[in-house]
Amino acid sequence: MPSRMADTLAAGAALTPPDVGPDDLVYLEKVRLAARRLAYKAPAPDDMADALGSLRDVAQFDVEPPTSANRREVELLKTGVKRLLSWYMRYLAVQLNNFSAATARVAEVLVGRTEKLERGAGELEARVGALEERVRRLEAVRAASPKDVPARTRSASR
Amino acid sequence: MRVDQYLPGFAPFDAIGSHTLTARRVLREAGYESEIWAEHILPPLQTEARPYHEDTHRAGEGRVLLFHTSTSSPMSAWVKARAESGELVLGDYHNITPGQYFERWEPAIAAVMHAARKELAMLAPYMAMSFADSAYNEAELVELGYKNTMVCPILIDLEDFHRAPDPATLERLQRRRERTGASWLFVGRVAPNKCQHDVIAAFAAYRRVFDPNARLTLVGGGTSPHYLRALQLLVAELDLEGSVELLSGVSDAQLLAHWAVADVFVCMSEHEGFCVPVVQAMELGVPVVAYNAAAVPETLAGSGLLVDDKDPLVVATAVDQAVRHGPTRDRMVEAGKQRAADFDLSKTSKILLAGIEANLDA
Repeated sequence: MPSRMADTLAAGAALTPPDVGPDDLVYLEKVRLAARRLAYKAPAPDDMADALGSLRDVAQFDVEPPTSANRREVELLKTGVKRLLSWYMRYLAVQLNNFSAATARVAEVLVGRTEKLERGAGELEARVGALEERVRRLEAVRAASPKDVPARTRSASR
Repeated sequence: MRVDQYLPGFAPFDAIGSHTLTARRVLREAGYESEIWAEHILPPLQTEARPYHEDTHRAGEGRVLLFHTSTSSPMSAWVKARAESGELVLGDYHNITPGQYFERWEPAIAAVMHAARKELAMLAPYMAMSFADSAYNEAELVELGYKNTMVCPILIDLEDFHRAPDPATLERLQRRRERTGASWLFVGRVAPNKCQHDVIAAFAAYRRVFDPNARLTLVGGGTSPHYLRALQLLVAELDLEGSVELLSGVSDAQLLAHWAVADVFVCMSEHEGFCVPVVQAMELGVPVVAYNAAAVPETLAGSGLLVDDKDPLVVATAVDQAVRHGPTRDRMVEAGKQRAADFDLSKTSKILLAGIEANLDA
């Protein structure tokens, strides 16, 4: 089917956003960050921070079920059921929310500790790498002059 | 000759449900006997369809099965068995939301979507032919090994968009409109792939930079309570309470009242197999600003402003262009109406009937 309008706008090309003041820039940055937080990200199997974010997203249990419906009588029925059960749902929800908050806290602690261990492991890896390199260098020196080594060893023992 | 339609969920105020009802009307008017069979039939449609397991027709009775695919269902295995028994089975693919979008918010729904894609692939060898709402959908079918495909846009009776809006809602919205600025509208299920959070973010930028009295209305039933909760928190975080409303359970007549006062339709969706609300916007003369993704550019066909970047200020600037720049707005409205005419039922129903008849001839 034919395209009748060529106004497909690429960002920054056909449209130039207006200049905005410093206060607006701060607010816009807040908006960008907030929207980015909810944006779809390709799942990374080893991204713990992402997994923790997902846990936080679903850790709150809402006790306010939507009651709107296409038919008035159904909406009234839903509202009635909601009011009748609200004390019971709240009682359960408080416990579930406490449990999920504690679970999220455990996950945060574990992520923190794991990241600390990973940082430590990274440092150790670097140090082991440096030591291996030093050993390799020394072995290369020794291999280059095999006759000198016993002589030096003899003179050192005297 | 019979052409019976099968679908997992038959629901009111739903694009696929409306399409199925319209297709039945078209088929009956063309002289076919036609019934709708479904797994879940929601009120008030109980009289329009029957549970599919009550279907007692047998192979050789001279009928075509038209199976609508959009989600996972035991009906897929049932349809496969029907095809194996020798019945002529055609598909109608309305797309399946990639499960990844739901993994973060609703893992159970994500699993259903992943299963639906597997079922779609499983059915490929059994479909004599498959319709697709868009070339975007058709490309997915071809990639899955579907041999015989054709694009048939979703059937929409554009006259339905010109019915009388709910008078009480219209009066309330018009009164409010006198006190406020531009009215943004988005219509679609509250789902992570629809990216209502990006619409809210762009709206926040628009209010800050262009129009502090603007209003945003998001209409759509929920498929993800957690995502809905995140949207409500986002509205509060950006100090937009009182200027953004999230509505569900809106009747067709009430929705028409919202369309009547809308200045712009803003769609930041990342995954759409067709996007009926875009057609509704074009038909009703509401300019469309949309994210350039999935089937949306194909449905718009250049009749709206597409943005390649979701930066809130970029989108807000595009909306300002569509709302306040008279010549641009006029061109968008005119081009939109012409494009909507491409989806007139007189044209799309011919495509559907031609596809079915080609298979009967074969």
